[in-house]
Amino acid sequence: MNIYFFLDHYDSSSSIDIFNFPPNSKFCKDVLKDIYPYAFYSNGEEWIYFELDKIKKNESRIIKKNDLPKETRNESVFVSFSFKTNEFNKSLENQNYMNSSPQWRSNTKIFNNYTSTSYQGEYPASILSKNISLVSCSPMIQSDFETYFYMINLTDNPKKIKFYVSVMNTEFKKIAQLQCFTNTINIFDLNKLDYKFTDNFYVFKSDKFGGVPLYFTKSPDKKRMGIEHTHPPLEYIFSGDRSHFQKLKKKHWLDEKIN
Amino acid sequence: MKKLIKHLISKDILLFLRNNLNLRPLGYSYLKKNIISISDFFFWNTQNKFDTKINITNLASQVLPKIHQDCNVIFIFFDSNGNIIFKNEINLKYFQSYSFLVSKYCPNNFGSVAIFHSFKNYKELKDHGSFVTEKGYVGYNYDNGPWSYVHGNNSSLSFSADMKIFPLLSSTLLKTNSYIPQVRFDDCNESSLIFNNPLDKDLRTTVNLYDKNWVKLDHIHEITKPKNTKILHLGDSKKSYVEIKSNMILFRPMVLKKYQTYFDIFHG
Repeated sequence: MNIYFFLDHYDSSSSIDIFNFPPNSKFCKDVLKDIYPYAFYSNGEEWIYFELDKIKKNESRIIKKNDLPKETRNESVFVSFSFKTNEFNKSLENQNYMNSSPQWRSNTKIFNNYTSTSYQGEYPASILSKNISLVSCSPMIQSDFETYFYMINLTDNPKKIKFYVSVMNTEFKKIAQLQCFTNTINIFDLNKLDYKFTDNFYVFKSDKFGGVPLYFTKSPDKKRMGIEHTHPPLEYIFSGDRSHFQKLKKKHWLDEKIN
Repeated sequence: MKKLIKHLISKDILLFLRNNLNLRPLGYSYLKKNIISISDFFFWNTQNKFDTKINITNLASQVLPKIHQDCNVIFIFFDSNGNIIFKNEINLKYFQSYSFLVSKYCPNNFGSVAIFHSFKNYKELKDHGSFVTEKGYVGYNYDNGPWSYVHGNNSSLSFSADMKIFPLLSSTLLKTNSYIPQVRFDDCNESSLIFNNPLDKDLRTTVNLYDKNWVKLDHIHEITKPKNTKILHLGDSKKSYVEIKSNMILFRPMVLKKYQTYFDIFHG
């Protein structure tokens, strides 16, 4: 089962298109069932959750964050699913559903009255209980516009734990350290850092926690926007033991002494 | 007996039977001998105030960071009719990255590009049965606006030591492969699908448009010749879902949506 999330932004809205059918039925063996989506967030101690309207099999639903209960407005809200009503699973335990290739995704969007930007994404429930790190090599920082870094993290423990993401250039020089929390849609305005981004790419890394790194750019009048995530290191490899090379890369960036 | 049958029937024939009889089909073809590099087939567009920015990095450093070595990168640009219109070759030092605007070399046009990396020391990759694959990132903008980046989604072409290009995605005889991008189309009036064909045969597609209750509104038949690229406008019907039936097993077009002041582009 995948989990989805809303990308909060101060001057725009967010939504997710959720589908109760796979993109390609040839590579999905799941038997489709009606699902009950839950919007949930952590208050630092426990999960607070709200059941949303059922999505029947072969149907989809556009969920806007603004349509959720008022108490979720300033919270980092995720969406998971159950097969039965009133059965939110507090352990966020993975349901055996949404197994497909390509991945069973949501269109995750930031929009306003002028335009909209989105990407096809998900937070795999399979990584909730794992100790994951982050090495995100990004060429997407655009200093001519407003550029934001999103670090989406979700774990199976509702406590909000502090961790840091280091921003480095390719010469291992640390440019900034960003304070993040688990179970949070962390957002940073990179223009506010005391640094002029001029290189072709930068590395965002954390050895404590990982998640989904996203890079969002917009013009100051919010009429032009773009968003994309970086792919995990194993995407540079085709076939064979891909995870071996992911380990090599992560070890390189996480072990190196930072200047 | 099974071993004997396997010896008698070539891998390619077995793949053909698996895919066409839908018996545990495979999205990728078997790799040819002497393959050294893999690439997506990236869409580019420099017409009507659009531009495209390609960002690459030394992939040898990314996957084998302990080895200090240069990486040779070959760009092969195809126009929308599948003709090679520009080739370039550069050398990247250890962890060096490089970006450029496509409009500088291929102005007022659109098409697709393959990007292949090669380097001397790839023994560890070979030992693990792996290959480097270029997955982007490629940025698109309009009228000097912010870049909307898209990463690669499908390793599509392979490149051999003797500089030959082979399609990597597999196909079927009939249009038996269905793909429904997981995005709703009812939030904008103008949307398109971007088709490019990395195969050596025609890509045959039927695009079915549905409203939110799965009532069929329209359909579009399209044939995309090898290495061609098409921007398929979906018309102004009140569609919510798009289903693409094709003869390519893992066919996943890009989606382009136009809004009042800018556009959104992403992999379906």
